[in-house]
Amino acid sequence: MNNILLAVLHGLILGGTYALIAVGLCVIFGVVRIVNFSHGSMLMAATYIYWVFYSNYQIDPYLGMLVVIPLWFIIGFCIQRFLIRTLLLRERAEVISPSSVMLFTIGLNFTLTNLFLMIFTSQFRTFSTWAYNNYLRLFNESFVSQWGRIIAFGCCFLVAGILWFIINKTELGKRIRAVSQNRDAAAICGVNVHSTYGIAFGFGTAAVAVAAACLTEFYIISPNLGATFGTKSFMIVVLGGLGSIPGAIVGGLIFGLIEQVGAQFVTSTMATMLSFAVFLIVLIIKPSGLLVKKGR
Amino acid sequence: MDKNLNKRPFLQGKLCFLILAAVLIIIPFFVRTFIQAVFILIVFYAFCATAWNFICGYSGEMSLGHAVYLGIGGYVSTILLEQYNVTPWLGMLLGALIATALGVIIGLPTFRLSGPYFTLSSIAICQLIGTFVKNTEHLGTIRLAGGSGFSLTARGGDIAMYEFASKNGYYYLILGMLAIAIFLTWVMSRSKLGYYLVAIRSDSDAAQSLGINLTWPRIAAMAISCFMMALGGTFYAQYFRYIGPDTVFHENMSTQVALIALVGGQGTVLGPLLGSVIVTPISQFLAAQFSGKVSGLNLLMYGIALMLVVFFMPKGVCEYIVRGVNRFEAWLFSGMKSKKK
Repeated sequence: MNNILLAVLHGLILGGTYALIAVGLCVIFGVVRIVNFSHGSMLMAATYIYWVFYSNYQIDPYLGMLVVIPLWFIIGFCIQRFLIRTLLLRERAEVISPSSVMLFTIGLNFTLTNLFLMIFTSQFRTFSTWAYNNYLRLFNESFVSQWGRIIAFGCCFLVAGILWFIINKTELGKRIRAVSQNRDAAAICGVNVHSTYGIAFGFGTAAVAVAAACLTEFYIISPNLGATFGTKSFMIVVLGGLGSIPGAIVGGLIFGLIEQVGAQFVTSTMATMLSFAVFLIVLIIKPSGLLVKKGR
Repeated sequence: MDKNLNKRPFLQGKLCFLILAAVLIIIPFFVRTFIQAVFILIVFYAFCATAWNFICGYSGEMSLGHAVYLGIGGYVSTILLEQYNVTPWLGMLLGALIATALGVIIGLPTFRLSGPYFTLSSIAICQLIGTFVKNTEHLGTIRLAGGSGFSLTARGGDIAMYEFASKNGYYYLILGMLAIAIFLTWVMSRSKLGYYLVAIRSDSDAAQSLGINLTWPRIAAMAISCFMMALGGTFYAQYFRYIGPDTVFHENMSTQVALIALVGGQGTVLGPLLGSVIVTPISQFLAAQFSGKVSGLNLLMYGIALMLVVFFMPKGVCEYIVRGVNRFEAWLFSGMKSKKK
C-alpha cells in the first residue's frame, strides 16, 4: 500500500485519540462556558491512578475504568460545585469565560502536574497489557497498529455518541442545553443551574478518565502528559467550534491527519508545528470554528 | 478648612514613591552578592510583570504566552551580537520591533473576538515558536542553536556591548528600565488609552456604544507591552549570559510573569512591583533549598499560590496594602489631632 494512504490511516487513528481527549473538554467548554486548563492534568492524574492499579494489582486499565470513571465524575462535580461555583457567583455579570476561573484552573493544572511529578518522579512508565503488546495487521502486514490505538479510536466515537445522546435526547440533556444557552432564563424555569453545571463538568472529567485508560494502552506516561495533550485538546475544541461535539471529533481527526501525513514530508516536530499553524490560521479566518454556523 | 483633608493618602503621594525609589537605589551597596542577584531578579520580574500588566491587567485579556516576546528580544539581540558583532543596544531595538510586529499580528484578529481566543492563541504562538527554535539548528545562514541555546562569550565588561563588570551595573540598568515602565504605565492609566482599556474591560458593549473602538486601544497597549517585554529579553540574555528555548519560550515563564502581576494586583501601577517583591524571593529561596532534591516543589507552590490568590484576593495584594496603610494613616492623624486639642 501507498505510504500516503497508510499515513492517512494512522493519522485518523491518532486523531481519534485526540478527539477522545477533546470531547470531555468540549462538553465543559460548551456548557459551563469556562476555559478549563486543568483538563490535561486530570488526564495525567487518571493515567497514574491506572498505573497504581496496574503495578500493584495487575488490573488492566480497561477494567480499572469501572472505578476511575465514577471517581472522576465525582471529582469533577466537586471541583465545579465547591470551587468554580464560588468564582462564578462572584463574576455574575460576565457570562462567557470569566478570567478568574481560567486562572484558577491554570493554578490547579500547575498544582496537579507538579504534585504528581513529586510523587511519581519524571520517570516514564509503560503498561505491558494485551492491547499494548498485540498488533492489528492488515493489507499484507503493510498496515500495523497496536490494538490500544484501534480501541481508542473506537472509544472516541462511543464516548462522543453517549455524550451526544445524553445532551440531545434526555431530560437531563434538555436541562444542560437550557443552562448553556442562558443560565438566568434556565434558573427562572426551575433548573438548578449549579448542579447542572456540576453534572456537565463531571461528564467532561469522566470522559477524560476513559481517554486516560485508552491512552495508557499505547502511550508512555509521564507527568508531562497533561502539557502534551492539554493544549492540543484546546486547539481541537476551538478548531471544531466551541461546544460542538462533532466539531471536536473533526478537529481531532484533522490534527491527527496533519501530524501523520505531514510527517511524511517534513520532520515530525515540524508537522506538530504545522498543526499549531493551522489552528492559528483557522482562528484568524473563521474564529467561530469549523462546524459552528455563524448565527449562534 | 483642615489641611489634612486635601492631602493625598501617603501611598499615592510623591513622598512614598521617593522613599521606595531611594531604598531600591542604595540597596546594592549594603548586601552580599547572592542577595544582589536576588534583587536583580526581583526587579527583572517586576519589569516583565509590568509589561504584562500593561496589556493584560488593564484590558483584562489574559496572555499566557508573553514569554515568547521575551524570547524573541533575547534571541534577536544575541544572534546579532554573536554572529554579526552588532551591539545589543541596537539589537534590542530590532528585537523589540520584531516582537511588537508579532504581537500586533496576533492581536489584530483575536481582539475582535470575545472569549478565550486571545489567551489560547497566545499559548499556541508561544509553543509554535518555542518548538521551532528548539528543533532548528540553522535557519538559512542564521544559527539558532536548537535545544542547546546560546552561551554568550564574555567580552570583558564592555559597556558599549551591554556588558557590565559588576552586578551593580545590571541592577541599575534594569531598575532604570523598571522605572520607565512604571512611569509609562502611570501615564497610560491617566491617559485616554487607559480609560478606553478599562472601559472595554468593564463592559465592551457599553464602551462601544460610547464610540470607543474596541480593537485599536488594545492593539496599541499590546504593542507597547511586547516592546518592553522584548527589551527585558535582551537584558535576560546579557545578564545570565545564556539563552535557550527551555527558559525563555517556556509556559512556566509566561505563567510566572502573569502570576506576579496577579499577586500584586492587575490593573494597578505598582502592583507588579509589589507582586515581584513578594513572589520572587520565595521562589528563589525554594529553588535554592530544594533544587535537585524535590523536583517540582517550586512550581507546585506557584500553582497553589495562584489558586489562593484567585480565590481570596481577586484584586491582588496591592489593594489590601493600600487599604491597610490608609487606615493606619487615618488612625495616626486622628491620634495627633486629638493630642493637639
